[in-house]
Amino acid sequence: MAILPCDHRQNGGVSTQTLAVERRRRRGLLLAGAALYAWVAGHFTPFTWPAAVVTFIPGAIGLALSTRLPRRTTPRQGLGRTGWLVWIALITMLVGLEAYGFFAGSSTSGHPTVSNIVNHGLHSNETRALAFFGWLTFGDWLLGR
Amino acid sequence: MTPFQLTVLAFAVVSVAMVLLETAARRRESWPRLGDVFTVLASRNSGRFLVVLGWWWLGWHFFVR
Repeated sequence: MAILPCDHRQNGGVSTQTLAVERRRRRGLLLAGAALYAWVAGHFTPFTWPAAVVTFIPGAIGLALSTRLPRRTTPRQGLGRTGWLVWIALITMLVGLEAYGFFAGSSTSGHPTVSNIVNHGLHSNETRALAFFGWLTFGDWLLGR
Repeated sequence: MTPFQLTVLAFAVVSVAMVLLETAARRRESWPRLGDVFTVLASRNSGRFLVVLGWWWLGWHFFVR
């Protein structure tokens, strides 16, 4: 079945409206599945093998799909140079701070990494599940690039 | 101010700056958004693979170790 909006005949007699409804239904199912998966994953304690397995699986699927899935976006043309430079500077600072914290011992008293800072918020199963869901949707967003 | 507080402050400043830049980019068509940055990074298959690898590492960093 074709997935892009196109001429009636190109979709094998299926209207674009039907395709849009089907696409929304699949998207809803995917979201519900991701939410359920995240809820289960949030109940596993970090540093245990179940936590490793539930994090390994979506990562492995994402990597396998990364070279196969069609792109949903194309680079926009005519974007200003200043904006790019500011993004590069900010991302470099973020990566630099994280790397510095990591190599300086990554502690909650000295130079923390992002995970040291947000760990307090990930103590409960609910917040961990919510963060896991956010991580899954971020991965889906990245795969659409 | 302790090194811990300084580092947290630096992370906060960079994060707020990113949110402000994204907000500004949504008002000006000629400014790239975060999505444009990742679209360019992932425009080649190898880049997309590395971006997804980075995402995986992020998940591992937060939920496993």
